[in-house]
Amino acid sequence: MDQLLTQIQNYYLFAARFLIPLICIYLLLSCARRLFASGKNQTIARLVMQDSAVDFDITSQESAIGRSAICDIRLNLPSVSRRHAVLTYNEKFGFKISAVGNAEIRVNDIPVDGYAYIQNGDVVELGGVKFCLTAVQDITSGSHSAPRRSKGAVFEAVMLTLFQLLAFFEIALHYQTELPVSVAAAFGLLIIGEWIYFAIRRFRGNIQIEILGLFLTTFGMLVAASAAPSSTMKLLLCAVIGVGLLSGFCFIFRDIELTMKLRYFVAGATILLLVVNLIFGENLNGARNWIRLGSVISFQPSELIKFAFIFVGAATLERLLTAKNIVLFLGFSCCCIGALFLMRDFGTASIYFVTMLIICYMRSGDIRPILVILAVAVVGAVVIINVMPYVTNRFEAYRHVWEMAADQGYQQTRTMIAIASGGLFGLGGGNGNLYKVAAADTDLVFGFVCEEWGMIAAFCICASFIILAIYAFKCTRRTGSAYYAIAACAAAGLFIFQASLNIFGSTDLLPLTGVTIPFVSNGGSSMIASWALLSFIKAIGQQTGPTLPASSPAGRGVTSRRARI
Amino acid sequence: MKQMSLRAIVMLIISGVFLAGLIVFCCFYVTDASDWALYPANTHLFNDGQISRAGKITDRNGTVLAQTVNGERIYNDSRSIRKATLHAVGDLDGFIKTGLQSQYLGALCDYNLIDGVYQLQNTGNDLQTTLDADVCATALEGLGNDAGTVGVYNYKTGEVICMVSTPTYDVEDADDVQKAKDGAYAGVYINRFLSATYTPGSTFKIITAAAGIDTFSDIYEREYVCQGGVEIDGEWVSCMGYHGTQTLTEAFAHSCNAYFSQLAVDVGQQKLDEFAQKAGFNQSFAMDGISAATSFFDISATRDIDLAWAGMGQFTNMMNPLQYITMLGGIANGGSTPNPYMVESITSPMGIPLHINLFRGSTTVFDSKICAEVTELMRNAVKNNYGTWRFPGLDVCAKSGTAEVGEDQTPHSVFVGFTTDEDLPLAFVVLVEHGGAGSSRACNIAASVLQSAREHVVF
Ligand SMILES: [Zn+2]
Repeated sequence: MDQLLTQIQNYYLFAARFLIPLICIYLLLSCARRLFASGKNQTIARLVMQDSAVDFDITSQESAIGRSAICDIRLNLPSVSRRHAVLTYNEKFGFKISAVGNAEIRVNDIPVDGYAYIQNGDVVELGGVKFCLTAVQDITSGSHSAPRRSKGAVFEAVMLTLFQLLAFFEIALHYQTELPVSVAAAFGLLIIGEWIYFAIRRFRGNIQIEILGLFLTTFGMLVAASAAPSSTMKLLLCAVIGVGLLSGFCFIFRDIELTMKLRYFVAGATILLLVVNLIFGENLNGARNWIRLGSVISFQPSELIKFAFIFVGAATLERLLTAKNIVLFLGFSCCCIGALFLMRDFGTASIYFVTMLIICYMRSGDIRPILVILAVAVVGAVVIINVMPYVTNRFEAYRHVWEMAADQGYQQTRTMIAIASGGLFGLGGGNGNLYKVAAADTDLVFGFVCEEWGMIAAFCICASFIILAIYAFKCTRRTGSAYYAIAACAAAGLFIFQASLNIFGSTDLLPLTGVTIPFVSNGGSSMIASWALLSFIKAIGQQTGPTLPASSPAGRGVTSRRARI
Repeated sequence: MKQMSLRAIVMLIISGVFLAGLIVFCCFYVTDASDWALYPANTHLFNDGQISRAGKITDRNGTVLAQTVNGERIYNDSRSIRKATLHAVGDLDGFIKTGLQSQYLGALCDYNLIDGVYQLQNTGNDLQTTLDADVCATALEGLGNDAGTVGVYNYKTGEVICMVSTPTYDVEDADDVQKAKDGAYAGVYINRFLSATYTPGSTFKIITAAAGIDTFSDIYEREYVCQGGVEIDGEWVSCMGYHGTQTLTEAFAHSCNAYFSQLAVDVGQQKLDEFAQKAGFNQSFAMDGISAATSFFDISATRDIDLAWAGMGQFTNMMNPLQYITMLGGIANGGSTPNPYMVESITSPMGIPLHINLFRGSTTVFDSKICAEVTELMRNAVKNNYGTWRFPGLDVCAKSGTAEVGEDQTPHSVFVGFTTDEDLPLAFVVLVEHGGAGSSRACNIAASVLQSAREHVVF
């Protein structure tokens, strides 16, 4: 009986190890093709220039108006500032025009102080040029939450499930009769759960984002099933919580005004959580970054705060242009990074730091201060490496791991041995030997995936992050708000940087810092945080339905308020 | 939002850097992954740092030299065969760097870049050598407790049937292994056949004779006088005996130092150098991709007396056994010979051949006319000096050497040559460190090894 099962395992593996990478590649290509399909910008409304035949189509919820070439609506006139005004659309309040700095704006000949809400037919005057805001009926009618990609993602969903089944059977055949029930249940629930989710979403919208997330999560569960089977179910539960958060956040993000208000609350909560962590945190593997609640639940606040960090850091175009207020964010960043330093979690601190740089650049567009900060940080890092013995010790082995294969280079050399052993197609789920090394399923997870599932599969994980980054880039142009753009780019950048630190750290191309690969490394907090971060990337491609009432019943009164800075 | 999309180009840059990092990693993978996989800490292939998954290594008759049974490496049952083939097969710790278990570890374990260490049967690949275990054991018996090496190969096909290096130890005897590790046997991890160089002694006269044949058309009429030696540059070069007036044939048979030192001087620096290069000195040799030590010959800017010593195989000359045996094979085979090899085949458990032998190449030494004349000189040396009775049933051409290696030290005993039998075309090199006269110790070993080959080996 055992012999027969072993024979089946051998021959199943012989075929599956080629099939799985093939399906992974096909799945990714298919997702990328759908995600990168260039969406057409919808015209929300039109600005008709008076005394002239020039019209401007408004295709985004946020449009910059000014003389500069990078403005969405370019008025190349000396009387107009480089960045003169921002036109914002919001579902609740309709259109709103905000002046940049002290720029002069008049609505229906009344001077505007700060910003004003405008309606269909209102005449806006910028630097002597008059426009009339006109609804575009034929385009807007029926465009409300119009599913551009009506085809749906059934095919990708089927490929994903096929991959999950093939991979699960490898694990099952590895354990043979000793397969833990919780592992089988976790994979069963994963597949059932994802199909329920797909059904609810009707396979529509940019659901490929969730498919990529589930693809990565599957690898996380496969690693857990092999390295620490008892944690597989926990990981699934965290993924379910993560998907719930993603749905919730995406719902909140639709209301950009509410999102902007929530930022202050989230920032406060974050700092509170960090303080709690600093006081009650527990030390695990040299870093005081764990909080224990009762006897069952323990989590890493530094993982969860990644979401809050980006949530607080991103801002709308209006905010960016009217209030160039980056100091508050920098202060907040320093609090977070400083707290991580105190916890001695330098890997995560560097992730926060890079995320901060991306956000700063996306907000200011200015590369010089970023370079200055980077230079200071490099000097700081060198000092820390040379002064702090705990860190120095870690960096000693860098680029000399084979000479220190028995001590400081132990983890890296074992990772490279695992990678070479796995080859391109892997040795099959559960057949690796890396699990004997400490942190194999977290810090060294790249080697773990390479050994059991092969380098092609591991590169598919990398490709998923690259697809997400390119998606964030492609959507920036057509997304509703700068908030989404900044947040999505920051999240995708964080994923890639974190994956880089893990992959190149464990293979000795960079010093080993001990960070996780999002979704893939075994860890509940990391799983939840990864899904929460994915919601930023999901949100950037979301179709927030722009509807402009053809004729406003609410009257034409101009409401003018003093802008709050 | 135009502004934002310009700034978002930073995402492409970040992705590009990430991709570049992955490409760098791939480059390291291509160049270094075999070192990673074959590192003794890889528990897929090693157990406690010792090879645990590798296929069989067999000799030419299928006798198992080493195999893996239940994750443990087991060598041949016979202690003398284990010891005799140790340097060819290799030890368990990888100390013998030129052993097949080091050099062909990837193939034996079935590691490759594409599949890693995956193998359906999980047994590794089998490697068949061209060696003959019994002939090797005979050679080891002859060498006894002395350091030295014996190599024998078929100069028509390149098959190496015997390659033994001493001192050696028994890998299955824990005490012996420990003694080897403790340094009880000097240079025990070195395969002397591949990695050592020795003073060639009088065997170098083969090359000097070849240079003489090429230089003087009347070489056989040319005579030099031996007065128990000869004076060159005011220095006395002594001879083993008082040979009187000598021709080349007589001098070669008696190994007359006086004759050859004068011939070397007359042949001249340039010609001697040319023939040493042709013989393979200062060239790199390799067997199955395993590099051998390079022989050394340098007589630039030397006096006549140095030239004379060089022509007799002393001075700074150093030969490598692999280079030497290839030269002898070349002479025997009429000018050129297939390069020696010992890896006959590597076969996967499914029976798929994995080792293609198309590119072994061949080595050319002297013109066929010179080779034929040198062969006659060597045949004559056996007839008139060493005695054909030592080699019953075989037609052997040979030259002995007694290589001086310093004051107060017994010289190395060297005996090299080849058989000219159609069905047993073997070239051989026998070297016993501090073994005394080449015509006795090394010659006896050569005789017994050749008899053993005659009994056991069929080509
Ligand atoms: Zn003489």
